[in-house]
Amino acid sequence: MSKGKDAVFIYSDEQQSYKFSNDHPFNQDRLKMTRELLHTLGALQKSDELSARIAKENELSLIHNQDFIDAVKKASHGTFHSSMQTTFGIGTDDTPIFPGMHEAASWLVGGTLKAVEAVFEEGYLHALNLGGGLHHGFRGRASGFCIYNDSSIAIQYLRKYYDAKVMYIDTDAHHGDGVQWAFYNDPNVCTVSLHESGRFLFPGTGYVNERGHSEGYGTAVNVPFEAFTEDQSWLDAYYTVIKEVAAQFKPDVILSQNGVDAHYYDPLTHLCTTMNIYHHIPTLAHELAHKYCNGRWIAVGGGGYDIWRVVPRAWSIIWLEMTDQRHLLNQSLPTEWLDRWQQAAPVTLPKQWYDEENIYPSIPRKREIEEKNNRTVEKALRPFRDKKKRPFSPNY
Amino acid sequence: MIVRQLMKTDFNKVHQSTTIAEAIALLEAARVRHLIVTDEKENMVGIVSDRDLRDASPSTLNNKESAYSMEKPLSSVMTHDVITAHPDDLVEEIATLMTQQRIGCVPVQLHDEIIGVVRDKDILRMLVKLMGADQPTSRIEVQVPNVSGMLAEVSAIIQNFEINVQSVFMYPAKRNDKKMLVFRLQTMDPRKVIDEVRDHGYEIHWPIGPEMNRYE
Repeated sequence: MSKGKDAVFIYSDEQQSYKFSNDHPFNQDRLKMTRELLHTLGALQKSDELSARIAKENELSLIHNQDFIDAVKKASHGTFHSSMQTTFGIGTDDTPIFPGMHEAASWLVGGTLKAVEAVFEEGYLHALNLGGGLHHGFRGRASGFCIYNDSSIAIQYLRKYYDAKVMYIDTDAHHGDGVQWAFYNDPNVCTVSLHESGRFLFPGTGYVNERGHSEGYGTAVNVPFEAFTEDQSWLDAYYTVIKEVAAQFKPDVILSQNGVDAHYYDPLTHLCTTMNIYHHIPTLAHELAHKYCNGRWIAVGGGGYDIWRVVPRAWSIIWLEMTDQRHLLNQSLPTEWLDRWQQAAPVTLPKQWYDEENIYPSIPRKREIEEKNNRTVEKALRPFRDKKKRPFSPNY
Repeated sequence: MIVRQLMKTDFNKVHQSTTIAEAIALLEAARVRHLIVTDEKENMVGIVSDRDLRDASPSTLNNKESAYSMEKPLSSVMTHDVITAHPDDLVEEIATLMTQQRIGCVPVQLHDEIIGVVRDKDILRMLVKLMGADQPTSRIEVQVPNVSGMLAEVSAIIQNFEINVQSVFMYPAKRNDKKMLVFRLQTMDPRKVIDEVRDHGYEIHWPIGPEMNRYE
């Protein structure tokens, strides 16, 4: 594969307008920092980039209910009723109202749709839209920082216009509930979510027994990790589950959601992984895209609330993997970029692409956690390993 | 919540002269575990469970044993003295009764007529709802002194943040002088609430740091 020619980076400044308030944890400065890091590295050229677009209303309604879209538009233009909080989940502490929120959310959706078009219309093999990945949005309700669900809309778009079988891989620390429920009955969309157990963490769902319904039985896969899960256990589960599911589902395209909040530094979650997993995640997605999908791989962003130490590094690696430029990871982060952002950062920016050892205390329940996660993986894969009951075999 | 709100009104009745073999077939077809047994006037005279019927069936290991017992009427194996509920009974009262008596199904009787049944699975379904496990939420656990007014005080702290409480329940802590309050909050970012509750001197049992072990 020729360097950098087969992948496209989707971005436009309007994606930064998705901003709830100055102290809200969802902070799109992440996009700016990541893009600048890639530019400084010399890994991202103007010719690699395509502008995002704004999603049209009829594209939003591929997934969302009209009354919800109307409510977001009203709130976006200054009309708010307190009933919108309970009915549509907007104007809440998580998803406050801000001027232009309808347009801002539509730009994020349009970016992911542009990524779909790049791969299915314009001949690119891979496309990356880090502004997407808002996986909590429901058909009729905003939830967990997400208004419109770009990934659900893009999947429905892929179903409608290209009749593609879609494998959705979600490695955000929160369960990908919005996307899962949107395609719970659809046998042609396989949603796989690896996340911190919902026992305590938002949204509380994503139990291993959520497997899809009716014709879609077997096409929802959930791996809820114990709190304080570490790299090795996380990666064992990731490789085992994603490989087995892909081998049986045989997708036409992979859509990966790259929330990067499973890192120990993330302030909202309770997993203990390090940068190590973010070196592996895109590698496997890339490999499987070539193995099953003629290379078709669309990647989006997602959660990630340590915007200083985690997000720019983790998201840059996705692009470097997509464009076969991993050799750039053998050197330190560029001093120019570090100097510029260190001034704004409240923490010390790491200089290497991997974390130092011992960034977190040793975990007393380590063995129990690994044992529990192993059993979770076995349970998650049980329908795939039972030859009589394989979800995707013709006799099923 | 009262029994009337929870009971299942569509249940299976059979006449007492039905044979054990017929009753087993009926249980399997309807995928239920209990049958209400009646007389000619449709009055309840007993209840029979899948276990009663299994106990009365010949062993699968002994082929020679005659199938004679399978042709006996239900009245020979059913429980005559049936424990019943009233539609206005509290659900927790019936749940206690079911635990104490170790039974999985209680017929609901009003004016000599059976109008529904409460099964163990109905109680479980209610528990899921009560715990708010079917809505997007974060969960926090707070240990408070076992004295009056604690729930109100912690709730008042949460109220300051305009975060909707999806469910709340409390259970006794290991220590008698403490109680555990569990809140399911409709937010992805409960940090401010947690800090404020901790600042008021309450002990947060979840979330905790990785170096701590709450399971011991």
